[in-house]
Amino acid sequence: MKTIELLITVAYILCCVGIGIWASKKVSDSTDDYWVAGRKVGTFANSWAMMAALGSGGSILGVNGLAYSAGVPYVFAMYAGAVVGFPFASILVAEHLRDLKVRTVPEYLNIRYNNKALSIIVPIIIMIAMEVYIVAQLKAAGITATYLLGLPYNYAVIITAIIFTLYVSIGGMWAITLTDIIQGILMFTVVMLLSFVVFLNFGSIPDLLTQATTAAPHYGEIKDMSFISYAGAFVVWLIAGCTVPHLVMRVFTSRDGHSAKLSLNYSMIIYAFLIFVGVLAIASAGHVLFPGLKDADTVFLKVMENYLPNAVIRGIAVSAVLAAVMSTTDALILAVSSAAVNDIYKKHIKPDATDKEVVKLSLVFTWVAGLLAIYFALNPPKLLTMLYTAAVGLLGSSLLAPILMGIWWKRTTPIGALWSCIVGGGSYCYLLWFTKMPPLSHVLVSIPLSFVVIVIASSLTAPTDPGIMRRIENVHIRGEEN
Amino acid sequence: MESWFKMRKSDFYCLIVLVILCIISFVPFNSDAKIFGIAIFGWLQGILMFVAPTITILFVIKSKNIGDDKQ
Repeated sequence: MKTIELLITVAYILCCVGIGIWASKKVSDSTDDYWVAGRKVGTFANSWAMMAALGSGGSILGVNGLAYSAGVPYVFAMYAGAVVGFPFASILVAEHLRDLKVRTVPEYLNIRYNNKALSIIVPIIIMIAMEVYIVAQLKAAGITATYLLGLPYNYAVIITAIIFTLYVSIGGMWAITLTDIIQGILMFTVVMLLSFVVFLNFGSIPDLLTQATTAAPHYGEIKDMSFISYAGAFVVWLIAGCTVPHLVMRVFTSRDGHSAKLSLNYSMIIYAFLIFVGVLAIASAGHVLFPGLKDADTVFLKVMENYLPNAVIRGIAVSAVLAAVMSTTDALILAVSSAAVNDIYKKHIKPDATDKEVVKLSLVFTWVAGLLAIYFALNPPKLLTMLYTAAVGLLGSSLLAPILMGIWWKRTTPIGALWSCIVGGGSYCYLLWFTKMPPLSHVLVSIPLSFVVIVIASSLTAPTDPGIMRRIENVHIRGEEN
Repeated sequence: MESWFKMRKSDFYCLIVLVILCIISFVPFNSDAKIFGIAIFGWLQGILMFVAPTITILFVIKSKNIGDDKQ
């Protein structure tokens, strides 16, 4: 057990819980406060919170592991997709979703389509996909705490999950926003600090890259995969900014549409530094210092141990990795809870539930989602990375066309959206499980298919209720005035 | 009745620029050229991470300043 590192990590954890308790005073009985932080989050705060929500354990451990094994071009293609997705989202969805004053993605789809089947299917898809995502994050937390603190894997998973479930359940989106800002700044600082130390030790960036690509020539080359694998990796994450609920929900917290657009883009510049500088320093140093690693995901931890010998700094670094995990997982767990309570219970089971009842039930569902995640993370399924990527691909294939076309194409009908969601999600699952398409390329078929279906089905079915269309039209007109 | 909602001109142009940048970043996919041992394709993807949000911010700020109308 490493005492100093452990003490610093405990201090960080207590800080997160303290923020949750403080934030709970803001959310007593209001669902708007609980799920969208009262729609009062400014550009600076939201930029860091968005970056932290996207920047998961994968953005620190996974990205360097993937760069180590698959090479820089592949990992940059995948993460460039994630980064570019946010500018697209800022233009195509941010302002309109923010101005509709919804709290969740299904709530937007309910307003736009008012279709019962869609309003049940979408929250279920979101709950399943987000739960898979959470399990993957918890596994990363467990591995980190085991490697750096010497804690048993099971303890690490349980403690991490209980901490973020605790502060989310009591503080809702306010707690997530405040902790995400601290967690975002912490992970950015640690990655930049480590990268700077690495560059300093190698003399210059070109020297480091030359040594790394001499030691492992494949590191700088385009991997022996087809073009569509690269394009698929790019597109899977490109669509995340428009469809993955825990990212879209940050748009709803913005104080206005303009702030939402700016924060989406500022957050990605910060994220680009985290990925670009981090990979060039840490994964490259890994190839020089630790050639032939069996578990590539440990490259960040090994480089960190090598270059940050001070126990205090190492303790802060452990906190930063846990921060990356927690800042994503807390938003994911709120997305699951909001889908269950706001989009199923409030919509279908008890429409006359008061705000106070809904907030109380959200607290219960947050714990249910957290405990389920612990259960699965203690016995993580094999091929977890496959499942986690499938979760993002499933969300994009099911939701991208209904969301985008609902905002921009007046003739999109509820039946069109429903069939697009079913065919997009269904075809993605079929291609993933029953065909041997190249990795990550399935979305290149399922997403175009969902757009074709929405156009054909909408053209053949009854138009949307004029009252709904007036509301959507008003949002576009208000956007024009702003 | 028009089938599409109108988009601000600046948003529309920004969208076109983003699509073009994405396409350009994939052009050197088959090139063997490297800089410091990293394929040009990798560098372009890396640069895209900074260029895309920066350009969008410029469009968003400009659109706010000039009170842009719709396409």
